[in-house]
Amino acid sequence: MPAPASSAAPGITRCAICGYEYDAALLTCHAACPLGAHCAVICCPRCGYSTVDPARSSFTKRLVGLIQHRAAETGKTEAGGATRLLDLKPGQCGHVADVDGDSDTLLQLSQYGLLPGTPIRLASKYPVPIVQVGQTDLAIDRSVAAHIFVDL
Amino acid sequence: MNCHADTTASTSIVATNTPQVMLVGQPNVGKSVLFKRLTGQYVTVSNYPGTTVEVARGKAMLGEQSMDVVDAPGINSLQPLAADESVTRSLLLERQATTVVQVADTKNLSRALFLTLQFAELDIPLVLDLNMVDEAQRRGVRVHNDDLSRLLGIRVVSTVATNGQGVETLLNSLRSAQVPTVQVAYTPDIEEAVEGIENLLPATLEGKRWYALALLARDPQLEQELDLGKAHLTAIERIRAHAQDGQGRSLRQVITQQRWQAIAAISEQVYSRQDAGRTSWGERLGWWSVHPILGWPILGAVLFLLYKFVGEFGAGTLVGLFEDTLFGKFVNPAVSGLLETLAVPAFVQEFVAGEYGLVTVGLAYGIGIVLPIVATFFLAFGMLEDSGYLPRLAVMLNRSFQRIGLNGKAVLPMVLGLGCVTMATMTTRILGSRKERVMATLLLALSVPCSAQLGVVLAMVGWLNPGGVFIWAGVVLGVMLLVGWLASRLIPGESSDFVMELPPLRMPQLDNLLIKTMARLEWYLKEVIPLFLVATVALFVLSKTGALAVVEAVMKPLVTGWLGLPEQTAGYFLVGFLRRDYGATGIFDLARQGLLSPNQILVSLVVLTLFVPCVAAVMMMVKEHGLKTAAAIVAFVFPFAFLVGGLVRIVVGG
Repeated sequence: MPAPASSAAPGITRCAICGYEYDAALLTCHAACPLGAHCAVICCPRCGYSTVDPARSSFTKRLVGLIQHRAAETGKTEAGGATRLLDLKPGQCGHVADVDGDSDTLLQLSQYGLLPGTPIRLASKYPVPIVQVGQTDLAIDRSVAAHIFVDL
Repeated sequence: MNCHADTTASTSIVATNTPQVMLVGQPNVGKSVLFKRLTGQYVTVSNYPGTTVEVARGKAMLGEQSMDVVDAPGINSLQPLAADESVTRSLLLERQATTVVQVADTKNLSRALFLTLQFAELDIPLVLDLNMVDEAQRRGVRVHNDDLSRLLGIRVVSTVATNGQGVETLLNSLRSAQVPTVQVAYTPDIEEAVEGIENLLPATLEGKRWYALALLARDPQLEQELDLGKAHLTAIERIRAHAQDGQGRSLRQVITQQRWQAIAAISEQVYSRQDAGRTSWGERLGWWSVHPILGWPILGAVLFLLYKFVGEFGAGTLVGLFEDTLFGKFVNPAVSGLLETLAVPAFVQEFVAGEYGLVTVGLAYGIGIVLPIVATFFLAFGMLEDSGYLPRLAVMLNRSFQRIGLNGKAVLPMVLGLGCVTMATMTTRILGSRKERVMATLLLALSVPCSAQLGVVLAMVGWLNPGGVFIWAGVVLGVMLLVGWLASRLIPGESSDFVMELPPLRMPQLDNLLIKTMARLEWYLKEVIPLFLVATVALFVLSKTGALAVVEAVMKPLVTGWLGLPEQTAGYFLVGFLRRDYGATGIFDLARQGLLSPNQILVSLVVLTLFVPCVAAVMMMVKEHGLKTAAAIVAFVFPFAFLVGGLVRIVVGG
């Protein structure tokens, strides 16, 4: 399936057969079709090769959303170059670089010894992130874990 | 209400002659087991942080001298964030104890030192007990006690409280408790501020350094307790502002961080850990039970075994044995026979063995039906507690609980509520915010059936229409989700974030398990049997005086009109206010006589399940959350129960 080519602008489909780039939204070839409104099939104006427009499939939209969400999560780093704890792979270790925010929960973390400088291991990510600090296994809500940054 | 042996909630006992020893430490480091070793008294012990929510007191003998021993709820810091931790802090600040034994989990030495350093600042005489040294060794952890003792300036003793190893040495070392000599050297700006605040504190105050640090880190509760006066408070505020200047983060974080730096320096010299190499089966199972996929079948298996043991064995086999065989074949005929041979008046005969007879109904309900169910449940629940599975269950269910405005931490009270709602209401204290505590209490009162009631329901499954039990469960669960969802929006306040320590999975110890189950059973029976007897007598009196007929007439529009039930059930709803499972058991009896249709059974079960569990639970609510909140909960629950019951009737018909 021709994925929305990364080189092309958004909304532009690149035909897998002839390489012609076109905007599926401007296609009028199926306007007469009674199924038109719900039809996801588009065809290349140059060679006639028909394919499914990923932008019109709700399945793909979800998948794309998920991928973009993950990409956005992995992309985030703190100014100092530290990585978000949640971006580690399960089993990866690091040292706590920073814990931002000042809420009670973060203070609570410091009581377990989770502070800048502490070695930390992300043991698992789902259903709740679990970290190992010293000999303590700590389950930490995702919203809290998002405040923790580590140096690898 | 007390489920602990010989515990006193009072915190103001000051015995002048007998030395007071207080056990203090992080949650789940074995303080309560040690307490049992020292005093021979039992307090509830489980592999779950925060089990001790009340202060337990007992006596221990050191040679000829008797000592008072206090088991305090676990704390992580002397500047507590949770309600259950402030109890211990008050005890320490009141300085009732002549000696403090700090109980530590050996493998987590640095966390223990975080407390030790604060005790040192507070000038508290101390002995450090490195407990669970066996578990530490299995994990390849070694602590050099002598070096540690030298660095801290206090006695350090290793123990294994569960088998008594080292406890004798610990007892003997109590006399040589000393204030730790170790001091954290804070950075000059902090030290300067501390000195400034120390000068503002009353001259007689002990442990000024700690107070100064706490005030510097901001501690409104402490400010209030010290009653420093406005001028001093402004001065402190000025010092604080000066010290805060140029710091990137809050002073509290700065101080905490510097404490941890000092700990790292100590720990480096005395603590070593070799990789044990292989992961044990316990550890592996521990990880599987919180695995995003494997965790669910494990949860399913646990529930299945729980149902097999409590639902089938307890509520089926054992209830059959107790109720049908013991009471039906032996006790009831024997009592009736005895009364007849004694030729006592018919009135007495009826009082003891009649339709609302003290023995044939009161005792038969309490011992024949409730006891076996509760016993099996407490045994199974104790096993879950001691294994360390419950915190992992909290991890698995966190997401679902967050939907209704709670978080995974509420799993313990909810699951414990399946045993006894009264006990569970007390445990809501471990929850982070007041909003969550009130919500958990409401949901417990409304929708969590206790084991006695569950047992009655399970016993009636056969009388319901096929699928009836699922309708019942669905309605109760649906009500819980709906009310939880609504309450989380209506009750003001914040939800706290889920942070929870996962203790290692451990093999439950048989003796602890049995003792715990017996202690809980005793508590339960002492509470249930009298209430069952009172309820029976109440019904007897009502029926004899003709008041029951009046009640039935008054409640007729509600019971017959709205719920579509026969008039006789009114009496059971009435005593259901006292104990809902008694009401349920009464319905059970009516159903057995064929007086109720399956749909009627379903409707009455739904109503009674949604009832407030019992008088004791109401009293516990008042104790934990105050009269106003408790009254609000009760005022909501009863009409709501009838409302839902009527709706179920409309849907299923009948």
